[in-house]
Amino acid sequence: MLKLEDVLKTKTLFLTLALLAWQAPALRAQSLPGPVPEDAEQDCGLTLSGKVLDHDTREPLIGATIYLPELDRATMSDEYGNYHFHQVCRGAYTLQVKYVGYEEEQFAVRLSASLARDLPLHADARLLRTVEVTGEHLRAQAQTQQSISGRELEQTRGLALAETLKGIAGVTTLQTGPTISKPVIHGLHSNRVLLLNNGVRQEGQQWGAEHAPEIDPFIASEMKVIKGAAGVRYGADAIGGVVLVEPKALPTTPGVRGEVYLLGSTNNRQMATSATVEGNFEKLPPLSWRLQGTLRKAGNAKTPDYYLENTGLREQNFSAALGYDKETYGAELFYSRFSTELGVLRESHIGNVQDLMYAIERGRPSNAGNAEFTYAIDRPYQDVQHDLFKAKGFWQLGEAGKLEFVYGWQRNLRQEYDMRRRVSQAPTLQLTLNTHTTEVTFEHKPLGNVTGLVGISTIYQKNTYRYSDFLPYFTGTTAGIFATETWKKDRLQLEAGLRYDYKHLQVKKLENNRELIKPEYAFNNFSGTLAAMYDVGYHLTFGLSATSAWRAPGANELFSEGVHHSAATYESGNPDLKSEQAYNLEFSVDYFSNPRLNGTLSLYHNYIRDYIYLAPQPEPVLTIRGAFPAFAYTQADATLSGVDLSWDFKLATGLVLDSKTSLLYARNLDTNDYLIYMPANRFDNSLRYEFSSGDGGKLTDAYLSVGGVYVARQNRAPEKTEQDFAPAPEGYFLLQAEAGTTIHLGKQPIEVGITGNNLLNTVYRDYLNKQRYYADELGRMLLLRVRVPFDFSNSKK
Amino acid sequence: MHSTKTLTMKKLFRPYLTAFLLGALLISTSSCGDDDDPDPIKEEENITSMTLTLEPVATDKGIQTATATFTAGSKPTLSLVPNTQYNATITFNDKIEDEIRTEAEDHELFFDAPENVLVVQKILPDDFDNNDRPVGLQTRMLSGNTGSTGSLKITLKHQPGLKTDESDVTIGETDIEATFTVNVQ
Repeated sequence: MLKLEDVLKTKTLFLTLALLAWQAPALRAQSLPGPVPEDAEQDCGLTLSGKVLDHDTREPLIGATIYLPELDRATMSDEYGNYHFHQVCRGAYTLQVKYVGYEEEQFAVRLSASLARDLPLHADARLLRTVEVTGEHLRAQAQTQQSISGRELEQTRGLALAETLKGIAGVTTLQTGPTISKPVIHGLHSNRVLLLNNGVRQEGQQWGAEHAPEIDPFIASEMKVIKGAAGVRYGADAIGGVVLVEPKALPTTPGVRGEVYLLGSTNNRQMATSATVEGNFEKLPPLSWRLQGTLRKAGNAKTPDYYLENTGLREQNFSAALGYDKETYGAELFYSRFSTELGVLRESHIGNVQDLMYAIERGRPSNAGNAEFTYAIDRPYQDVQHDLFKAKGFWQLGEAGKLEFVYGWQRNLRQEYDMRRRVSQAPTLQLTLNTHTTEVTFEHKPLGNVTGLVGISTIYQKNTYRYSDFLPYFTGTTAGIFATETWKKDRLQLEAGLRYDYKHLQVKKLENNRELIKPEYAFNNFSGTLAAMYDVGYHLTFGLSATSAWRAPGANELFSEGVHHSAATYESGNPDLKSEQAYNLEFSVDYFSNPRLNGTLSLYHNYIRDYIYLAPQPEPVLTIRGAFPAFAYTQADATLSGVDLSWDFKLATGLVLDSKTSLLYARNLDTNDYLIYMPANRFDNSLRYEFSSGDGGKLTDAYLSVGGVYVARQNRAPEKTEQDFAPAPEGYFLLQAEAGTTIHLGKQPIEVGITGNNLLNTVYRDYLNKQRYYADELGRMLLLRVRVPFDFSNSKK
Repeated sequence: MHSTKTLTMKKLFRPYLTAFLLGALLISTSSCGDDDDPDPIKEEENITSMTLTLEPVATDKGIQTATATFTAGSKPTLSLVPNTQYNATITFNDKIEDEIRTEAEDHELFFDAPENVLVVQKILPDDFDNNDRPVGLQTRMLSGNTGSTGSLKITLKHQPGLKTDESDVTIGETDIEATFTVNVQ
């Protein structure tokens, strides 16, 4: 051990420091010989306790039996409904609860520290069949948060990150052809939506509508979306919302296990595979590891009538994680690389606005008749590489609370290869963005009914370019301090939070490619949140939240200058822009854990002061390629209001109707007009049948689902000024179906599934696809997926 | 026993954690070398001007050669003699016409002018590419009657893999769009 440490010391300062953090406990173990309880390594001194309640009336239930099958231990709730299990080890458990007159229920819990967990039971008489409550349905926050995990996430495997999030009401995508998509939350995207990749704020070149998030969705076991301004916890900029990409926790039980995915599709003939191997050392239980990698390749995509030239993609990703986790302290190292090559529809690279008008008039790419399938990617394409290194440590400060530290380093290298007359290997644009983020949080112990978190965070980033100066050099430094507190008593929960951020921006720009100017900016502001949640009982919760967030203008909005080729516009930055400030109000109703009908309704209103957008200018810009419509970054007050509704209804045993509706109404208050490029109203309905399967059968968990998405025409496009080159496309309906099952070959389960998109081969275009001027959307596509989990941990027993 | 264990752990662990926190903070702030400034972009291969030269086919009549150079935002004037045949040649800054000639199968120039002012014929054999399609760098132009005036628009299209007998000005990517005023006196 000591030798290993010596070796490590010769490594870089950073690595050594980081590694020391998890080595330290090992050293302690050495210095502390002597009698230790047999299971001390496993942290078996935990307590699992709570109250058994009637779910509707919240009355305590006295004398209920609570059984832990994993430990074969049972207990009974006392005269106050309380139960306790002491000396429990870390791990995943099932709580089976029985009480006369109530349905027997199971609760899954994951123990990493002592836990208090209430167990609400449903009265027997009202139940139609067994309800299996597998997670906590009670919301933790008043602001709407929705997540995709489990089977729902499995069904999206093989899709890009933004596409997987479309299953959440209120979330849509902004696309540039079939390969590039980014998430849109309540009409806002890019710089206004924060992505947290494994707890680190993703810093790529998010400002670009054609810049997809550089995250491998296979890393995630859960994707969470916070809709609406959420600046307090995650930092300024989160005006539209936050997407949290969360990997599974590292394993805590000894052995080696993992999973392999194989995916294939028709249409663009995508082939993908992803594999994860993870383990935990029997001799050193706190130490665990994970390796993961993904390969993805697709060729030209096909509309119902023709292939889209140069729309293939290639992606290679891998990640590695190492964790040392004890009850009172722990550390984790994580490294990931994402690299992708994305073909861009060749037709969309045009010279001037006249070319664009020709393309719109033609209605299909000029070479549509001859385009064929190929995996080859030619100019124009993007080559993007994103590295992330993360180091995290936590320390349980006795009774006082929990201290956590996260450091992240990211390097984003973006190379864009446009069409050129002369053959050259060099890209036409290269941007390198280096970002260091730190965050220290302290979760204090409950003070009476108040729980909360305080923290500080910093971001330091530096951008450089080569080959093109569309975006200047810049150095940004941000520091923030925040606190969020929650007060909870009986059925009422109140939340409050405040954050202060300071952002400094140093820009270096060569004016007219000659004269160096170095403008400096400083922005600072507060973000806040106030919220209340009331649990009515009878499976009904009301939430009300008022949040605010602000966003400093980005370097592109301040200083970009030049022709935006695929948009056929001449865009000018505005060095005098102020910060945007958003105020978000949300009212929500949750009706959950019911045998038949469940749902969430959310009404929101987002007011943004000094919303930054590209406004059309009266005079075109004359270039050597001809006249370009001019657009300049301008500020106006804007409102975005809408409704998200998702509900499901059980029609019969195994048969569920699932429905999602997203409506949005967005106005520019200064011009008294609609905001451009806002998602149209969207309705997503499906009928799902789950086959009942007896235990020990060869097939389990079989399901079949048929549904459709209807996207209305966006009639709320700007009317007063010419901002768009073509009217919004017609609404469309897409038929979709899915089926899947788990095949058991001996003890080995194999999950298989098939998803069919656009089954009627509908010809359509989407308003939020930047390439809708040039070509149709994809035709029919079948995606096949196989997942093989494996586990070598049992063989050792 | 339990409390001493915790205490010892804290004692031992605290310096490491502190070092870890400080180290990472240090790195995140010390890597702020601020000595590099952007270098000017080398603007290769960019077309900045187009020169149109009209030489009379008949050299014995004493007719002057007409020439005009277009740059972004300008609209230069060509003065022509009525009812005259000209050999027109197009050149660009930095001899880019040589590059276009090398990639002749992927490029074509298109001309648009009122017929009573100027008629453009892409008929000169020297101008044809290997697929027997005209490029437009060398053309025959016929001027109209005295007093006619109009605009001549010349568009250079990059048509990689798209140049066929049917491909017209609507196909491909515009590399330059130049406009001249033509005066026939």
